[in-house]
Amino acid sequence: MASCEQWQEPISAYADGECTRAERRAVEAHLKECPACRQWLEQIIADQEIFTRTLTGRQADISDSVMGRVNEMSAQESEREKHKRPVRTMRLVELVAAVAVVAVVGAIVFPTFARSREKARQSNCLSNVKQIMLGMGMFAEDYDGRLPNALTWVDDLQPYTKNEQIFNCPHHSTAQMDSYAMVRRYSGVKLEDIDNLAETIIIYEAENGQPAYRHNGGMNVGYADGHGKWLKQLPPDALDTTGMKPGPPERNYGLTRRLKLAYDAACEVWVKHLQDAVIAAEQAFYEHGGFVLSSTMACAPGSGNPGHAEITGKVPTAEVAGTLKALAALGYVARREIYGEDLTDGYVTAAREVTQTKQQIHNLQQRRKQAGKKEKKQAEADLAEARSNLGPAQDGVFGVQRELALATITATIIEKAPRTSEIATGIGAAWGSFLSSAKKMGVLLVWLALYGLLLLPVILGVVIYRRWRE
Amino acid sequence: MVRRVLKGDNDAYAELVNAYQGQAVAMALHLCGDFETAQDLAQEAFLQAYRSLAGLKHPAAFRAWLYGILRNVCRKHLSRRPPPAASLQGNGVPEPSAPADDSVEMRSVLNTLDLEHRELLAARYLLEMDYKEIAQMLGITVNNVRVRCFRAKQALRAALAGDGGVASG
Repeated sequence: MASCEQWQEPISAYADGECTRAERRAVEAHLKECPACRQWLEQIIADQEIFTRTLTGRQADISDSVMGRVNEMSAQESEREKHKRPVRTMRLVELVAAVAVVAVVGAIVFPTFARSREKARQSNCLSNVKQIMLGMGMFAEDYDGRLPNALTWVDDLQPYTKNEQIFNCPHHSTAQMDSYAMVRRYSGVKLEDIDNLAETIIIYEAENGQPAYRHNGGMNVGYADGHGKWLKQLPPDALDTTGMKPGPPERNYGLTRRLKLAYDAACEVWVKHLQDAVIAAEQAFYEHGGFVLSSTMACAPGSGNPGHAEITGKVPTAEVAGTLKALAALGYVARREIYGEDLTDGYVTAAREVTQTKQQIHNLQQRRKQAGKKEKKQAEADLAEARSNLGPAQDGVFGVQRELALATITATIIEKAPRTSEIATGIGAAWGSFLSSAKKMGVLLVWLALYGLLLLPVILGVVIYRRWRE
Repeated sequence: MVRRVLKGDNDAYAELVNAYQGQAVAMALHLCGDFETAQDLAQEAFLQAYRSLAGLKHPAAFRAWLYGILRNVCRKHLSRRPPPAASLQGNGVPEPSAPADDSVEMRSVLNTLDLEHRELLAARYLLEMDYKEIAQMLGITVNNVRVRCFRAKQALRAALAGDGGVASG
C-alpha cells in the first residue's frame, strides 16, 4: 500500500485525462494489478460526481437580471456618448497639414544648420588663404620683392607652403588645387609697386577662372600685405585682368622718370534696339567725364541689313575701364580692344624740344644784347625764328599730354541678335540656372522625404490603430 | 461572439451569459457557500466582464478570463465577509429552496476545504477546464496544476471520508 501512494498522483491525472501516453499505459497496467489503487480511482471519480452534483444541483438563471443591468449600462453608456464630445482621430488632411508644418519647419531649420557648417568651411578656407599669402610673401622675399607668375603661382609657391591641401577650399569638391586664382594684373609685379598693399586683392576664390562665392554667398580673398578676409562681394575692379585700367600714377616699375602711358580702346556691341543703345552709349561717354567726337547711326528696316552706329569719343584715361563696362552693359560684346601706349619717349622728346627752344631763345636774347649794330639784325632774325619754333614745340608737348589725358574710344553698335553659338550659350546658361534651382529644389524634396519617412511610422501607427478600432 | 458584443450586440452577450451562467454560479456557490450570494457574485462578475470586455486581449480566452474575474469577485467578497456559510448552516438557517439535505451537508463539508483547493476543484470539475487552461488562469505551470489538483482531490477525499455517511451515501 505504501508503494501505491506514489501511484495516487498519476492516477489523479489519469482520472482527469491529463496523462502522457506512456504514463497512461503504466497506470492502466498498475490498476489491473492493484485493487487498492482501483479503489482510489473509483473513489475520486465518485467524489467528483458528488462534488458536481452538490454544486450544480440547483439551476440558476441570472441571465435576465444580468442582461437587464447590461442593457441599462449600455443605454447609460450611449447616453454619455451622446453628451460627450466625439473623440476625433486625426484626419488625412490634418495629417498632411502636420507633415507640411514639420517640413516647413525643417526647411527653415536646415539652412541654419547648413549655414553653420558653411561657416566652419569658410574659416578653414580663410586659413588656407592666409597661408598662401604667407607663402607669397616668402616667395617675394626670394625674388626681389616680386609676386609669382599668375599662371604658375601654385607651383611656384610649393617650395614655400609645402602643402598641397591649402590650395583646395574645403567646400570645393575636386582635389585639383584650383580653388583659388591669382589676379593676373599682379602677375610678377613688385610688391613695392603696389600702392596700397592692405587693399589690393592678390588671390580670390575661383572656379574655372570665374570668381566663386562659395561661403554663405561670399568668398575669401587674400590681400597683398598677407591678410585674408571674407567678402560678400568682390570690388568691381578687383579682378580687372585686361590691363585696361591704367596703373596708379605712382607705379613706375622702378624707373626714376615718370612713365607716360596712354590708352585707346574700341569695342563692338550687339544690341536689340539700336536707338536706345546709341543714346545710352553717348550717355556713357558723358557720364565718365568724356565727350563724343562723332556719332553716326544708320538704320534701314526691311533692307535685311542690320542697323548700326559708330560712336567715337574721348574719356579721361582713368575712365576707360568704366566707360567700356558701361558700353558692355548695352548688349552682347562682340569685340573689345584696348591699346596701351608708352609715350614716355615722345613726351621726353617734346619736352626737351621745348626746353631747348626756350634755352635757345634765352641765348639769342643775350646775344642780341651784346651784339653790335651790324650783328643785331642777324640776331633779331635768329631770335624770331627760335621764337617761332617754340610754339610747335609746345604743341608737341601738348599733343602728348592730350594723348595721355584723354583716351579715344570707338564703339560700334550693331543691331543684331547674338549668333547661334551665343544663343546656345544663353540656353546653356538658362539650363545651368535651371539645374541649379532644380538641385536646390531636389535637396528640399529630399529633406521633405526624410521628414516624411520620420513621420511614416506615426502615420502607419495611426492608420493601423484606426483600422483596428473599426 | 465577443467581437459581436464589442460592436454593440447585447444579444450576443446574452448568449454568452446563458452559456456560462450555470458553471459560474456553481463555482461562486462552491467558493462562497451560499446560493443567493453565489448568484449575486456571478452576476457581478458578468457585469464586470461586460464593462471591461474591450480590454480582453484574446477573445478566445473569454471563459478563462471570465472565471478569473469571478474568482477575484468571490475572493473580495470572502475577504469582506469572513463568516463562513457553514456557521450559518450550523445555526440552522434553512436554505429556501434546498433540493436535498445531503446537498446542504455536502456543501458544508466542501466549505471546510482550503480556498485554493476549492478553486482548483471548481475549475476542474465544474468548469471542466483542462490543466492547461487552469495553469493559464492561475499563472502557474501545468505540472504545478497537476500536483495541486492531486492535493485538492486528496483533501476532498479526506473531507468526505471524515463525513463518512455522506461519502458512502
